[in-house]
Amino acid sequence: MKTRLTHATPRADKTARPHAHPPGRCLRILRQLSAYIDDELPSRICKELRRHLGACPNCEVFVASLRNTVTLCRHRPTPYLSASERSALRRNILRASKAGARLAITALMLGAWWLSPAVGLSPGNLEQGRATYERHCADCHGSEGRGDGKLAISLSPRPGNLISAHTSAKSDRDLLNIIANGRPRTAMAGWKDRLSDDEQRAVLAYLRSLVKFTHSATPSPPLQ
Amino acid sequence: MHGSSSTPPSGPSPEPDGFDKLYRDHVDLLYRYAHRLCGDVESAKDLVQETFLNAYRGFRSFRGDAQVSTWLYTIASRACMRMRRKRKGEPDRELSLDEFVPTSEGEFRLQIPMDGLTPEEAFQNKELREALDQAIQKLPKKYRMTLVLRDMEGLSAKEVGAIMGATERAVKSRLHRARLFVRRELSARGITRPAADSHTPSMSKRESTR
Repeated sequence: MKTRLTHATPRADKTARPHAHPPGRCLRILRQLSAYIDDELPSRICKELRRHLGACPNCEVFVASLRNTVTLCRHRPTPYLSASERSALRRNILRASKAGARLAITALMLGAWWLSPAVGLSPGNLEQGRATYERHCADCHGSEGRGDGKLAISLSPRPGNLISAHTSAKSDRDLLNIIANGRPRTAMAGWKDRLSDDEQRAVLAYLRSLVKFTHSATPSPPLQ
Repeated sequence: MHGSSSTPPSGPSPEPDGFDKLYRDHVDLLYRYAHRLCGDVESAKDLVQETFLNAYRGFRSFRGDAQVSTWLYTIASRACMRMRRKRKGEPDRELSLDEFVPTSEGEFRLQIPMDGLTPEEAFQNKELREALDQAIQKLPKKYRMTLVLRDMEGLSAKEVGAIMGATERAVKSRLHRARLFVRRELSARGITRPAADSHTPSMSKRESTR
């Protein structure tokens, strides 16, 4: 997606009167302004640039505004998490990591003992869940649960991403509730009439198993 | 904090404690970064969560040293690249230098209304604050990431390169375009307070800078 402008230099002609240097020069100067602001240019070039700026009010204003932009970025205050938000987030992370870690059999290390083990993870269970999922869910939610099934594009709102952190952080009870009763104002219908309780649980177990941490996405931690 | 209360008492597992420390030490930094990248609270929380989940995964070999923040920045950046855009904004396109060449006298002269103000004073102007946020959010992702890491988080070009998997040169070039983009957005929005010197710009400019 290249932008449509390939050569803008001729357009700079309009500014030719007070802005006396040739248009090509303009682009050359413009190219170096960040390095100039960041003090990264060799002193010779820096001097040359400064001389130009002193003689060219337009460019000087331009540099000043670019410098202001950088200053604003550097000082933009950001909101902070409150203590309660911070701890809620931490709980979510541990809970979601538990869901993912069940497969990795590191669950015991997480000590997420507050979650009720509503979903068993026997291989048979998973297989049943997978079959049910493929039959009823994959068309919308996609075979990997990313919310990108073949019908997804025609739905508004789009089907949920089932492997996102957002979904992973939900408790089993919440997710079972959604599976059973659906989501209002979306294409997600309730399944309680069509799937038995066991089937619903198996689907959930399968969903949980889809949450994998992709190795490539996570670089290994720095070593001493 | 309350971390100790919810850590399970059982088992010889050093991880929860270590992870708690990692979380405690870096959650604010990551939230700040995530908020700057995503522009809203909910997505920022999602991103923080995703980042720590991924970090947890690679955590076993973690020993804890100065570079851990870079590591977390890297995880967060990759997670952000994978996140779907929730809001409309600039599509991920390349920014060309040419599009930032001012084409008229007026465009050259556009200013950002903070002459003589400290940044803190300038940010009292809500309109300016919002304009800055919106401009940053409008940037295509990789440019936004570069700008945020470099100009807001204050990392070096080399560190940003390591985080984004780009050369230092590429980082500098992206940063420059991102700044030019934000400058144009900011100045073209008409928050420009007509400065007192707008009638005789060249003269007063000279006065103010000499």
